Amino acid sequence: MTTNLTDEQLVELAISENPNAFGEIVKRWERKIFALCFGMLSREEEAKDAAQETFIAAYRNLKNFRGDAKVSSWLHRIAVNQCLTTMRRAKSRQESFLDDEDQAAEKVFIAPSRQMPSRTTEQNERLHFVRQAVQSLPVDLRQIIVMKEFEEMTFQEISDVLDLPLSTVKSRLYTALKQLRMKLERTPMEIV
Amino acid sequence: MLNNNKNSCCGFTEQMVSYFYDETNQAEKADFEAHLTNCSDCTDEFAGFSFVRSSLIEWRDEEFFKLETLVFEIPMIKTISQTVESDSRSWFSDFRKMFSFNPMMATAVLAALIVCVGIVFIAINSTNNSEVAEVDDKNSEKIVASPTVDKTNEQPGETIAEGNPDKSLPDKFPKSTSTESKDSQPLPIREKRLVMSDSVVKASDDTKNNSEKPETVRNIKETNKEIKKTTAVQKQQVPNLTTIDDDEDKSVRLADLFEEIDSK
Repeated sequence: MTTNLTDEQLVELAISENPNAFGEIVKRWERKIFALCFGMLSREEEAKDAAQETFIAAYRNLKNFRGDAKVSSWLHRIAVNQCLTTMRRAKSRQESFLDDEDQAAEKVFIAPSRQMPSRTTEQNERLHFVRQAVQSLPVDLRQIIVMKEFEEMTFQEISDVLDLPLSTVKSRLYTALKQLRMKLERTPMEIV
Repeated sequence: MLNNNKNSCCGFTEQMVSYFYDETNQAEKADFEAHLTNCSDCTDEFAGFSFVRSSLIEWRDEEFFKLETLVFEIPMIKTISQTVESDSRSWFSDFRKMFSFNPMMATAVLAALIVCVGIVFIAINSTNNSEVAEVDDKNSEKIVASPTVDKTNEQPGETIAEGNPDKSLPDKFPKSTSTESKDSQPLPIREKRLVMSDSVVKASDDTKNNSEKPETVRNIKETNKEIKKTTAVQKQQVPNLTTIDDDEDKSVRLADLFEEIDSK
């Protein structure tokens, strides 16, 4: 019954304390929000926690949701904020263990490489560098790259979600791609 | 291989991104393709972006797409459904549920209730019996003591009653006794008292005969109250002996009686 409704209608139902309505919202957006969190944090466990926290925060603030914004924009904004909070926490944890700040900045958001038997060492290294390059991007550029590549959102959708002009989204994506290119071409990947 | 420091100076930044992600219309696509064939910088940049994107897609496919869709557990949804269920239940169903879950508890509560009711019933009966007994004792005492009481207040009461019978009693004095209603004229205090004492005697006789009748007990109580009131009123109205002059005092005195006896 709830599957035919729009996100906004589902939120209205959820506000009137229909538990199935919010469950449907979670079902629709969990994969995309998880992708965003994974792209932003690069760690499966942290991404999972951040996504879950996103939905919990959304549920708690259901009554504060205004109909003038899209539910997708609202959820993405909460998710980005949640990822930033997670990153700040991780950074402060890491800094308490590492004396050298430069060393810490390099290692903060690097996820441990998944040593899968099917992968070659070269492939593992390549993926490690990609993660490292994405994590080194500024947050405003990183979230657009992640939304585009992981969530496969259109420019218009990103513009709506982040409440930015379409031209700004495109220019930021251009800048992000350019910076990633610079970072990745410095690595041995180019030789490979 | 690529000149990384070179910015896109062609002004095709947005068109390149749109073309790169295939979000252009046919006209824009044709324009950019025409530019791309003539601009080596844009061609190099486009190749670099393709390389970056292939790396990102590889990372996504290898690490993210293999992850299963997570099942999020949001605790509030459970609590809401629980509260909705609990709200839909009525107090009667809760009450019934309490008994259905614990029959021993229900029987214990019922037994306790029965015991309490029994204790209250016995207590009420015992108090009624004791009240009746007390009333009997008081009435018997009053029957004996009523003449002496009359004697103590005889002289001033008579003088006041004889002198001005209407003014002898205050307005507060109750005039609605059973005997008074028969006689329209107000009676002197002594007569009233005697009448009341007679009614008390009658009532006490009735209580002796039918001690368990509640009406007689009520009558006795009422008459006792009236007696108390009249005595209280009399005490207030009767003046002190010192205030009455000897000339005005026409009551019989012991000295006069002794003189009469001596003379006889």
